[in-house]
Amino acid sequence: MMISTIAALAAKPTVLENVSFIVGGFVFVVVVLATLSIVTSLIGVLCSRLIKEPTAEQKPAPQAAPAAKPAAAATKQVNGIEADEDIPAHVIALIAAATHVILEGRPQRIVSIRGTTQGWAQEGRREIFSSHRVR
Amino acid sequence: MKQFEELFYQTGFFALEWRMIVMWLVAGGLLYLAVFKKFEPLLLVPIAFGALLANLPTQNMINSPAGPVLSPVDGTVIVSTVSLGQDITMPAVVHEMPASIGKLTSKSEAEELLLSQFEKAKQDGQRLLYVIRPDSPESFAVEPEYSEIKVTIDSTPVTLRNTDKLVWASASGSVSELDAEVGDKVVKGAELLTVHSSHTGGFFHYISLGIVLELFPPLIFLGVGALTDFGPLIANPRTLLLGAAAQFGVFATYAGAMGSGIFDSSQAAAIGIIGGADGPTSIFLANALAPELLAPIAVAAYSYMALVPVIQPPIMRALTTEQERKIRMKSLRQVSRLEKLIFALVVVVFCILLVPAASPLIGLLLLGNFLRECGVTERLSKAAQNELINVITIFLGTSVGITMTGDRFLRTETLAILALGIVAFGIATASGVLMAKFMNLFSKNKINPLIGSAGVSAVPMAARVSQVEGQKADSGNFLLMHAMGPNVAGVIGTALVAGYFMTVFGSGH
Repeated sequence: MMISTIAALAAKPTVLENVSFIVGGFVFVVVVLATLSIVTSLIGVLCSRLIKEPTAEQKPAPQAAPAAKPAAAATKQVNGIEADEDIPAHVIALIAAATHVILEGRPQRIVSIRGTTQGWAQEGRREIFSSHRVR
Repeated sequence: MKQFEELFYQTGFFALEWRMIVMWLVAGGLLYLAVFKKFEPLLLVPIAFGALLANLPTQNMINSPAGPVLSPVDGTVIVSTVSLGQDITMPAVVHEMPASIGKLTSKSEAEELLLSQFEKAKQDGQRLLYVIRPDSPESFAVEPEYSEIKVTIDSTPVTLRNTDKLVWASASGSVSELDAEVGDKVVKGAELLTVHSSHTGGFFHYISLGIVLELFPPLIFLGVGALTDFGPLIANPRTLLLGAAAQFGVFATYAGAMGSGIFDSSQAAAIGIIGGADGPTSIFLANALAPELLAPIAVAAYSYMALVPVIQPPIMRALTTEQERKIRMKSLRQVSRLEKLIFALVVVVFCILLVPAASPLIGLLLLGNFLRECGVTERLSKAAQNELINVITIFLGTSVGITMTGDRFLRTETLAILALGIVAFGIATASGVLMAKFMNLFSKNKINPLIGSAGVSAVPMAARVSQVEGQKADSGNFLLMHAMGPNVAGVIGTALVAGYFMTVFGSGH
């Protein structure tokens, strides 16, 4: 399909040639990436079925406590802020103060404070992406 | 006293021109944006500093080394101004000379340009060596209103055709070998003469070879591959479509460039790729399709990439509602190492089989990623992520900046490319956002349209813009990792488009 277009496109193509070049090119890219998207999904399905990741066994061991938190929903109310049971009051005060400083005193209300299981991983990623501002 | 006078005349002040001063202001503006506004300083500082150096009467910085002068086309020599043993001296500031006459449509304009070029060349010492009449004349995007023009070269009146090629001296030295004389048939790349000099070329002449020989773009891709986590893309493969949609900007700009009537089809394609927001790919394609436009295309691509945080947000906000900007996307699943490795191999095989022309880019991008993900080449991966990409960025940035000489930059053609470049960026951003909105019509699992703009590649700046804009609407919404999917897809998409263009225009290496 591409070869026939190649021969046709001159330095000054006609409007029709230009349109077929543009439409052909765009459709080509969309189709290739859509195919890649399907292939990637299939790889995902295949991997999850074949490997049977040992996540079910591994996860509870190191992350038992944090993973259980959202499900357990053991929360308390501190001055109208809903927070996890194991977050002490002074940490809540600290978070409120930090929020106030970061938002530069703009009106704000903290509704809930929850521990998160992947915060450090996310922070690590953020740091990596913000430290390499090349290209 | 006379010695002081001579010393004074040897200083660079006498070589200064108004264009240089204008370019100092441009370089100053870019440095200001980089240093004080922090617009991608890692890119803009080397570019701006290179631009400043390019517009100073430097010595041993940019000048080409003496050596063979080659024929640019197959044709017949109709004018030769050199003889064996003749000395050729280049001026302190080398100007960009026209390679052919016919790009100027008006006859009076062409006559004036040629006369002024010859006059200037005589004063400066920049010498026209040959005029070659091509066997198959080039066709112009806009046909000149004249076919012939009469000029006087070395007191001899000559009639030149608008398609005749002009070969200018590019280095000082003496003519040690003369291979072509008037009436001789020459082929493209044949040696016309050899200039000998004991001086070597300038520092940046050699560094810039990394661009000319297309070494830097694949090496940058190696580093980008090593830096990029394909996990978000693999976890949410439909974002590949956002990267594909953003490529519409490339094709729309091609149409715009063709419509302007200034450029031919291969030049228009090279300009269009600016919309991919991918500097290395832009350089790679411009080198292959329109080497004469390499400098403005590289400058436009890199400058606009640095200005992504300024260009994209207004378009993103205009095309989305407050409600859409607040969409929180479902957390991405964990992607196993094996999955990442299989993905890298599948993409490299699939894409190279489809567009072999894009092999250097796709191949090294996924080599870098494989080094990162395989887990047994940590040292190599770290070198690609840090030392290699940093060194290449310095060299690439300054090499791009060094092309920004006043007489090359302050031209209608360049300004048109800059204007088309920003249109390309805008359309690419809008296409990504609109594609995300379109996908939301059919999907239960909604996509925040702000991540669509990251389909323009520009890794990871565009993804960061999506994150920042998302947080402006909802401070608890983290879009960065979601935006990395289309961002990486955009890199692959732009490389595919470049491969398509190179295949269509038959520009293999």
